[in-house]
Amino acid sequence: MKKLNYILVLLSLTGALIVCLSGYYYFYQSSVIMADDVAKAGFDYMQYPILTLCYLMLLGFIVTIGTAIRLVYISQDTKIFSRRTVKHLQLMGHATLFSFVSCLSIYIYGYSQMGREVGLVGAQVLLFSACIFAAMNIIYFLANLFARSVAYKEESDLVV
Amino acid sequence: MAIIVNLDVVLAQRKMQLSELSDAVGININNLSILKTGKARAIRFTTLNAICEALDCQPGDILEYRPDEEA
Repeated sequence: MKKLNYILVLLSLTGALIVCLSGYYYFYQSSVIMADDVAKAGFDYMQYPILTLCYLMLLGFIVTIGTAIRLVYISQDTKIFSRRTVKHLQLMGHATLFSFVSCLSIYIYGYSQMGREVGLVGAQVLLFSACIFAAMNIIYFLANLFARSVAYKEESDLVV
Repeated sequence: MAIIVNLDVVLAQRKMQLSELSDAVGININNLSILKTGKARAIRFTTLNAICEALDCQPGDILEYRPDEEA
C-alpha cells in the first residue's frame, strides 16, 4: 500500500512538473512576443539562458512544494517528530536555496548584459529573489527547530 | 556514562524475571529493559522508589558509579 502511495505521489509530481514546464514555456513565448523592443535592441540571445535559469528556479519550487505536500501527509501521523521530518525540511531548504540562486542569477545575468535597461522587470526579479531568500531562511529555521525537538524527544524517550 | 545499572544482578539474586518486576512496579517491560541494558538517560525517583520497594533493596544496590577510565 505504501509503495502504491509512493508511486501515486511520484506520478502526480511528474504530471505537475510537465504541466508547469509546458505552461511556463507558453508564458515565456508570450513574454517574448510582448518584449519585442528588447529583442530588437539586440538582446534576443538572452532568451534561452534566462529560460534555462527560470526552469531551474521552477524545478526548485516544485521540489519544495512536493516535499511540503508530503510533510502535510506525514503530519497526520503521530510520528511527526522524527528524523524523517527533519530530512524533508532540510530538502525543502536546499531546494529553496537552489531556486534563490537561480532567481538571483537571472538578475545578475540580465544586469550584466543590459545594465540599467533591466528596469522595472529587473527590480521585480530582485524583489522576488528577496522573498525566496526569506522563505529559505524560515524553512532552515524550522528544520533546525525540528532537529532540536527530535533530540529532546529521543532524550525523553530514554527517561524511565 | 559512568553510572552502571545492576538491575540484572539484583533480579538474579531475588530470582525474579523482568516481566514479574514489570507487573510488580507497573512499568512497561520495554522501559525496564532500557534501564537494564544501560541505555536509559535518566530515571525518575518514583520509578526508583517502586523498583526498590518491589526488590526490597537500596538504590545503591541497583546503581553504581564507576569512573570512565575504569568503565
